[in-house]
Amino acid sequence: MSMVKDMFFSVRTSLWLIGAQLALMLAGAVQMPAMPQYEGMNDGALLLWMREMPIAVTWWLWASIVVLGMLTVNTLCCSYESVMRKRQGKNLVLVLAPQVVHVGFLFMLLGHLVSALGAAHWKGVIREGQGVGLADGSMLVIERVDVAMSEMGYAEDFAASVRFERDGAIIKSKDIAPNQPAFMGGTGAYIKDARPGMALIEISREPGTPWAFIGAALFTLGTIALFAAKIARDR
Amino acid sequence: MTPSVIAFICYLFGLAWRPLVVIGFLVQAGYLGYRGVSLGRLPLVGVHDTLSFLAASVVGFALVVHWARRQPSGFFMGTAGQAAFFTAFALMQKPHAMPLPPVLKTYWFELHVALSFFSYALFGIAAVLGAIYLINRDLESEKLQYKVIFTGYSMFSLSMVFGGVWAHLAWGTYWLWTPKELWTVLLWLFYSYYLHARLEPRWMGARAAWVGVIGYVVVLFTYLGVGMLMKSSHAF
Repeated sequence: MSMVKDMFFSVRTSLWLIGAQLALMLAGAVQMPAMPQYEGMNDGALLLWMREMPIAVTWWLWASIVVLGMLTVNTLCCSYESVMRKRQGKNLVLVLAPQVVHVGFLFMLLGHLVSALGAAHWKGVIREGQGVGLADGSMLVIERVDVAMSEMGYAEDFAASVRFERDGAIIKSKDIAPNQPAFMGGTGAYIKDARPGMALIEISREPGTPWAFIGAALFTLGTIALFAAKIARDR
Repeated sequence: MTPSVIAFICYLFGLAWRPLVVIGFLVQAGYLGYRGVSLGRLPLVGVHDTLSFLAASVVGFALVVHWARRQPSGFFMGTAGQAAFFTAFALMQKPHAMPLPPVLKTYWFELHVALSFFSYALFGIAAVLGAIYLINRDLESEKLQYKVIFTGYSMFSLSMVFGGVWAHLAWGTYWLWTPKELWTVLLWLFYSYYLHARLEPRWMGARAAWVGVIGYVVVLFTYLGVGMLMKSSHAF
């Protein structure tokens, strides 16, 4: 029991686990371009895709879940031990900032896990006046598509006016453009391309996004604080 | 392309006479500034622009490092040498002149790419510092390598955050399983490993220096290898 406890309260364990995760990602990076089975990987919830695919395709992803699970426990243990050991020190920022970074990392892992369980994507061409049903029972309707076509025949710029409606009543109206989607009840509507009178729309659901962004904010905050504290200390 | 030729010659001969490195940097930075003003955006699309940006970033940051702590001649051989190589490679590529697709017309894209290349440049400088330590056993070079890697890692992490925000706004997901993204995480994990390993006293010195040098091979593969050898929606 003591050996297990020592293992999780150790930076050497962190190194072994990060090293293991590196090796797994490298295996995946070599395998992915070589196997066409990976083409559907981004179409929806990752864990559902993993369950449908043969183990020869997904083994490094399943192994990554195990390694990252252990790394999560190791991170929490090491962070706790570090704060307890150094809390009497003078520079509290140097003590806490790395742990804020770690917590941010763990929130990003949580975001990936939540999205892996519940993400959904749909893409299709919708004409002006037509709509598509959403998972929550509402409907996205394209009211108008504006396109600036180049001389070479591709869309230089485009936007669409859309409305969300339920049972015939309008819930929300918005103009969408590249990098300016509309969100409704956890679902995003994105315009990917357009031609006069029609638009290529993607409906996307990524439930892990809030957790990932909280994690990203904490990671960034902790990194900046640690950077500043190290500069101040070295002066 | 003439400014790039001048910059290349300055970097190459700057290996023998250091002031030429500064002149080369000023010429290349001026060229990139001119391209940026004429394009109405940062010149960060395509192999020519990104290689030129990387070359200028390597030299720019190298000058800052040299100003902070005087470096031996080997430092400029390593950094100006990298810049000469990247600039030569850029000269073989056509500058991107097509209008930007609408999805790239956002500050998130520019921040993401600029920070990525700043961090690549810092990892390149760190590799040179690691090599200097391995040759001279100058401990100050190894300590400086750590500081440069930490700075590069911070910028790289921020570039990944901005990339995720942009992807969420552009493509409906903050993460896509593509070769580029996978290798980006690999690179990030590699330097995470370095930073955690260096907390252990037995890692300070040659071991850390080697990891810092090898990391740059991973950087170059992530930037150039993936883009040129693999199909990915995440182009240069």
